[in-house]
Amino acid sequence: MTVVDLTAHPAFTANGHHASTTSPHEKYANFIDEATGVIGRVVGSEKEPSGAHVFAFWAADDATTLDVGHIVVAFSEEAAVVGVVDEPRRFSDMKSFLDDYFDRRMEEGLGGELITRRPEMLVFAVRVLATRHLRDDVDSHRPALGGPVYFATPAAIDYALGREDFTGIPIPALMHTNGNAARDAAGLPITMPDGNVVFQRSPIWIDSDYLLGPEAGHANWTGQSGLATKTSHAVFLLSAVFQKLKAKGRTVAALMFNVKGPDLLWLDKPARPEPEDEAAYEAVGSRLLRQQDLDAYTALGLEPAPFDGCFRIFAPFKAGQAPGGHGDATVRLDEMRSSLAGKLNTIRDKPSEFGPVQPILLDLGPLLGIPHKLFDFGDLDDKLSSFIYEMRDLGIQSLNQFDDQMAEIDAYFEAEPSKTDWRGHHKYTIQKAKNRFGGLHHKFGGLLSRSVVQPGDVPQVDGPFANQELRVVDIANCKTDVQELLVTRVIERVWRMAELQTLGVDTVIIFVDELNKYAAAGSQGGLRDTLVDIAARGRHLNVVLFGAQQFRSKVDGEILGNCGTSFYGRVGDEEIVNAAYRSLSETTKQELLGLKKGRLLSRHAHFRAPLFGTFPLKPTIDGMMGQRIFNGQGDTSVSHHGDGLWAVIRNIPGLPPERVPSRHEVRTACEGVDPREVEKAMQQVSTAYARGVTDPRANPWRSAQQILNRARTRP
Amino acid sequence: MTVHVSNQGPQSFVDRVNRVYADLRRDGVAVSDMRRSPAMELQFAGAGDVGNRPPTGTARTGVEPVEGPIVARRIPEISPRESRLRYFLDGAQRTFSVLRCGLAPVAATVVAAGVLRRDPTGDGVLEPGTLALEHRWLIPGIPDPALDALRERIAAAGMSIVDPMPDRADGADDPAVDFGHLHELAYKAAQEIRAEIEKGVLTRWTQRGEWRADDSWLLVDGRLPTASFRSIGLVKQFTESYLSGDDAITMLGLPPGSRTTAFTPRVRRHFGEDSGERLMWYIRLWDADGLDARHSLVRIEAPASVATTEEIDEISSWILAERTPRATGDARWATLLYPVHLLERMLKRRLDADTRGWPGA
Repeated sequence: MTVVDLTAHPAFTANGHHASTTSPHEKYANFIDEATGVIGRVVGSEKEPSGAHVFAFWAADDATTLDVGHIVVAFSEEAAVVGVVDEPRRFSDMKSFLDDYFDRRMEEGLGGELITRRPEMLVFAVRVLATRHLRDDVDSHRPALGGPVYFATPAAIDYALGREDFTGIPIPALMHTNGNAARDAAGLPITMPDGNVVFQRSPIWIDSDYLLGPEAGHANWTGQSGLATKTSHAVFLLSAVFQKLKAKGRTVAALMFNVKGPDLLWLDKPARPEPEDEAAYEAVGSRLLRQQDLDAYTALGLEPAPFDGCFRIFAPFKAGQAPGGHGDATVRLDEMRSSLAGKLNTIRDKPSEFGPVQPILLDLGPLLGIPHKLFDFGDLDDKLSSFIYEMRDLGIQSLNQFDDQMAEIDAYFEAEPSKTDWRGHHKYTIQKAKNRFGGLHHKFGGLLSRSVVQPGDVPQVDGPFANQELRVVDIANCKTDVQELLVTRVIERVWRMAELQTLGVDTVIIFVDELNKYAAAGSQGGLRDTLVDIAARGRHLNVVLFGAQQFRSKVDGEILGNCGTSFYGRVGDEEIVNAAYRSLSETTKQELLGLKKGRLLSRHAHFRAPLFGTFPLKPTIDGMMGQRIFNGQGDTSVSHHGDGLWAVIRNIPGLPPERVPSRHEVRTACEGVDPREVEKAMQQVSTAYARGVTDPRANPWRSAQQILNRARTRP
Repeated sequence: MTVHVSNQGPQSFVDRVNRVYADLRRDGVAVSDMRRSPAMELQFAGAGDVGNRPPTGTARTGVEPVEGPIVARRIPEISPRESRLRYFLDGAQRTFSVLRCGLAPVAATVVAAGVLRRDPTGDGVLEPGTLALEHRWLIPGIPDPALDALRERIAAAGMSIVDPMPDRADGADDPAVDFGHLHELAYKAAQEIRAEIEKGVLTRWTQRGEWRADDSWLLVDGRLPTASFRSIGLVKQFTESYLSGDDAITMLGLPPGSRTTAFTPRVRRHFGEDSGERLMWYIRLWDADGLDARHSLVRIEAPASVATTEEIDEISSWILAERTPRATGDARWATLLYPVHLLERMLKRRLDADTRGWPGA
């Protein structure tokens, strides 16, 4: 090894750096908005010195657009320091509020404006996002020096948000708006029609490797229900993920649980109506994408398109309508497909819009493996558990089979009155089991069949996913027992598929709202354990959890701790005092208390400090509006009896776009055909292509046309 | 006079003094370091007219009333917008003991002075081009080889030296050298340097063509060094009064918002040959009930071109309009006009920057 006395070498400084003539200000001139100019100066005092993570600067009097959340750049000796503006404070030399009071009130005639304006300086704290040294191999933490502060350019913001370190696909999550003007190619400020300048905007990117794994994973949304726009942003982010991964040839699917009204039932309908639907959208007052939303989508490199690639809604039957009665050995779901509309427990039930809806029906067999989900904790003692496992070992698959088994046991005791047990199970235990199992059909009404369920080729809620598939499980109208069983069962099954690597896609995103219900802090067992497991290991097994809740403080800490990305909407004051928010600055907390819709605070593995941003209206129609427009009755409904067929064909996985007819084409073909015949055609196509297009010669639309033609010519 | 505004690099007060000191030490000149002493302004704070006090109490030379007998007059109140006071001149100095050379204390002072402009919005800004900043050594004119060597080096470094000792008549014996007295004289000399620099700023200001075309007035914090056109001085702390007897009783009993009638002092012993005649009067800014009789009492000095009661009332009303906002962060707030307070802060920041790193600062 050669030892060189660096200090003796004129090309090096005493610290061993090459004696470069370039200052960070010169080298990173593309980081600062020189056109706007200096907006303040860094100040460090004895009491409040500049630090590696926080420094302060006072704002120039004319920097009136500068505000909390903006991103600025200052410099240390050899580095550019990029940070986000935080707590603002105005200082004056007034010692006491009373001074001003007396200045104005002590004598008559002093109430007006004072002759000399008392200087008030505005000082902002800045939380450092990134520091870029002159040398790429130096990770600088030296605080900013007293000196000028500038608005950051998009290049600086990209750097500060770690874009250079991304290993995965950049996903636009939010739009950041700075306080400086956007400029055209000539460097002139861009103005709006009203003369106001357009502020510089830049996407807040998140790294797919840190959102979807394998480096980190999962996302979490928190905030007040209805005000925090959690679900809207989750849908927006899902759309971004779908589009960006598709562009890079990666496969992805998502599973969501609809827990409230029609929230997630119309994600296949655009927020921007087709020309023929514009009047209907307007009639119900649906919020259309504004120009600013469209601009934002363009800036983010996204299409404001709905999830119409492969959109499926799964719902159990309505209570009391689950097929399979006493004595029925089996139920074949594929045979009853054409008669499902109106029977499933979903409010998307108009036949013409029923195409994406699929049934969920369980039999007893698989549930015997999760008795803790079937029975109350107090009921499930060791003796009953043992008996249930006996039933499972006997291969009991349905409630009817269970009843038959009970009849057999009853006969055994009748034949042997002196016996008190059957296969080691006391007859009282058996009596208890009979009693409890007897209530299951009602407890899980609509979800649990008495018979063995044979789905045939009907898509399964817990089956493998198709690329770009968005699978919504509608549990909004189910009672709590059904909801919990369904969520647990589906997620556990997906998790099992992940472990077996049979997901069918590279990545599956599971969106669970009301996470505080399914994985409450301090709870144990069941779904909580599975969700914790997903949070801990999911990123390696290609399953990521998108969770949302109103109260972050009430969600299991392990799940939150494993989230590489978090979003905060408006948070209530009773919630924000909890320890879950302790890492946020006071200003940030105050901002969260009154955050507007469409604005979120984001944290991501690459960000050193949280960042506020906005997002455009989601690309899909609002659920309630969708319900009124597409599922409604009367004038506001736009649905045509051919729309269901069109939706079924369009949602067939793997169907090339050129073989998807336009809606107008399908509607025209269905004119004059009995709606029941159209529905039959829809069911037939749906059944035939349930697993997607596997034969390149297949042409579902032509098949459907033939069916329609036959129906039309039938006498 | 060296006037510069830079506080960076080798031009700073600290660098220049330290360089001289280092040279002296290197060459073995017998001096003792005193640089860790606090600034004299702190040592003599509240000591009044240090080194300036007449040896036998307060000398009364009499005044000539110009508005009839000395009586109290209520000052008419005006809207602040009517005031024509737009410029404010002040200076600040910081004086440090540097060396002891035998019995002689060697000090150095850095002085800053400038003009603050009050914009129509009420904002105060330092008028560009008015800031004067100067460094001076204060070395007693005592014959001593070591002091001679020091003077040579300072002169070679291009810096000015002031002898704080009073002028002596030719052939007069040197007074007995007393360290403490020389120390006080150094401070007095620094004050005089400051007054001289303020006077220079005022002179340059009033010679500007724009000023002549203007109709606004300038207020000097302290005595008015020259009887300049549209300039007034505001003396906020004094140990002697020009008034005596019943006149002084009238002055000390002034109600708030009132003034004495104006007068001219018969002997202008405080001013140089070119100072011109002054018109003076006292104003009580705030109620002094229960306080020192001189509380919030200021003396206004105006050029003799101000002659009528109407003019004096008008100027007095401008001063009254300056009572708010109050600079309550400063103990002298009752007599300290807010724009002067602002200017003082700016000047002191310049002095801070220029003396940063000084051991006794």
